[in-house]
Amino acid sequence: MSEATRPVRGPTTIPFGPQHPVLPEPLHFDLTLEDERIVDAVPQIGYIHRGLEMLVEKRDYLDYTRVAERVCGICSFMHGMGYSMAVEDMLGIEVPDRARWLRTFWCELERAHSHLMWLGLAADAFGFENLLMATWRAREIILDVAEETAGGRVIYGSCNVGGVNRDPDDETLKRCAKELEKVRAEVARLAEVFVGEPTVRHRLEGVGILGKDKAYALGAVGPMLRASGVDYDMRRTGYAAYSELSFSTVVETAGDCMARAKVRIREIEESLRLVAEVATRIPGGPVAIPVKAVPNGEGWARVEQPRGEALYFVRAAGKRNLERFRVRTPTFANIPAMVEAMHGAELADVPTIILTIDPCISCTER
Amino acid sequence: MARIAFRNLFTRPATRRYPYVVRPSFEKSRGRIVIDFDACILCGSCQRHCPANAFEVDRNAGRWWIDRFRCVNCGICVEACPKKCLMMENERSKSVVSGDQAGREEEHIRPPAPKPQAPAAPAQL
Amino acid sequence: MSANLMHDIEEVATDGLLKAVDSLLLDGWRLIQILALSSESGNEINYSFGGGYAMKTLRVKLGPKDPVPSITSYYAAAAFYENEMRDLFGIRIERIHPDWHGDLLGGAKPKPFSRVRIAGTSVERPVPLNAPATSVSQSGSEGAAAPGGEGGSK
Repeated sequence: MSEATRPVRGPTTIPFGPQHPVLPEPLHFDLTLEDERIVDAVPQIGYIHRGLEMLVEKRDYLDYTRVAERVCGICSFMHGMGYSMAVEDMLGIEVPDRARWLRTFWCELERAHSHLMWLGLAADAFGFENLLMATWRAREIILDVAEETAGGRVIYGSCNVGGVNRDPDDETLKRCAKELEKVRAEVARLAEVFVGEPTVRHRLEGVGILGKDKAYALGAVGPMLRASGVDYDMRRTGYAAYSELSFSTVVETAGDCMARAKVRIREIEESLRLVAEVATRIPGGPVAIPVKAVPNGEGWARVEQPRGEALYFVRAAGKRNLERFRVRTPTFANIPAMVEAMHGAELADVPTIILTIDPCISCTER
Repeated sequence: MARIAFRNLFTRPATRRYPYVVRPSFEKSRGRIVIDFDACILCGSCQRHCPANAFEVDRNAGRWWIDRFRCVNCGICVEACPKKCLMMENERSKSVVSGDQAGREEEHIRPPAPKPQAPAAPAQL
Repeated sequence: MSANLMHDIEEVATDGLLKAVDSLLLDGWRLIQILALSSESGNEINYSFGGGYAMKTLRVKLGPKDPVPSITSYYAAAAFYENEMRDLFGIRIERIHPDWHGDLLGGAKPKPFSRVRIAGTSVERPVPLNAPATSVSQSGSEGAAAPGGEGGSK
């Protein structure tokens, strides 16, 4: 064999994304492979950077809640709520009780719909489109409940600084909680498919294993961390109405993609149970207090989004436009853990591993 | 999964045959903005508060204009209007065929009243 | 934020930063976020660490051109935050590992979020999308028609 025809041995670099048939989010990786196994992964983000953090200097701080909601479509209510909580922390405002409970209602609704959407996307990533359609059909009921109580199917638009701006009455809330019973029944049936079907188990079990210490040290949050055995859920700190509700955090120990899927499935059931509890126990009263102060100082808030813990920071300097707003989103914290989980995986498992952190790149690159 | 697929054969489809069957909106759904222009005082609050820069309000020319495609149906203008002349319907804006601007924008012009003239010199008898 | 969230903010100087980070690592704290702010007189970096549900923040104030050492030798996850901070704010961070040299975000404009005013130079700010007609447009012809602030001159 001459020099020119000898095969080249060594690592291959494959660009993955941002356009890819099974990739739900525009993320780019330069994957270095040796014979189908990933050796290194260099991420690149920034395809949908909209500069929303700079927009805070140009919008009145009360109007900016609507912009903060649109950082992401799926976790939108919690972004609006986190921003409102950070501004309320800065101004020292206490939100009325009914507003706190309504915020909890919508938060748990959002968690349920986000996890259901993730289940469908995970099924689509390994080619099971029928399961995607079945999961999203169950999700439609949740979206209808959201539109009836808050006004929008995915972007609720109901959180304000100082409370909420919609007040659904108690009968509506109870009726919606009854409708969600159908979703619980359907999720129980779909969970059997995810956990029991041999083809699904073959794609999910043993893939992307992340140990407990590594997951904690790399900064993983949310179901990614809870599936590796660490009990860490920001709802335990008691914001909104969580201090008055009893719920259990779902923890698994296997640390692979199947464990993360199980965590999310059980969290859907837990969220729907919480929604029913909120609908029966919600107190009456006003839903908002007027806010007219000029902001000054800084405020922090931490919220448990469907994807993990999000940290909000606002700073103001005496004008109605804030100086700085920063969201540290859970996907940004999970990316180092995901890159670590990819080492040693096969190329065909890369979309599944990317999906197990439930990436939301519009949150990551606001 | 086979049970779910088998059941799907005998239940009706989960999708609607839009546009022949339209889902009715809920009472409080967010939708397009409409204005009662007679009550509008052209203060420009809606323009200042809109996070999407969808309005153009010009007091001197008496003009109010909205670009429905920029509107994100957030409802801040409805809350901010001091005369409460902006309302939010519960149907979203319809899509338009390209070139048809009427479905996309809405403009109202109320030319300002002419300034009162100085009284004319009395006519010669 | 509820009352049972403990949060400590501590100001450190640039030379004391690595020592403080080292003692936090030994105590078992993990990195939660690195946040940068920019004002006309300089930059400010907040390093937030979490242990359990409590949070501790180290605050470092920098002048316009001051460098700051990287903490990636203690916390590997800091690489993402520091690369992003350096690309968006132009803060000089030394010895980031791994260093992607501006590839993480791949932006066209250098340091778009920086507000630092260095004497003798003008501050470049990106033109907002759909800016109202009264603002001065940098491209001069179509106003703020170009998204992403491409209207600014280099």
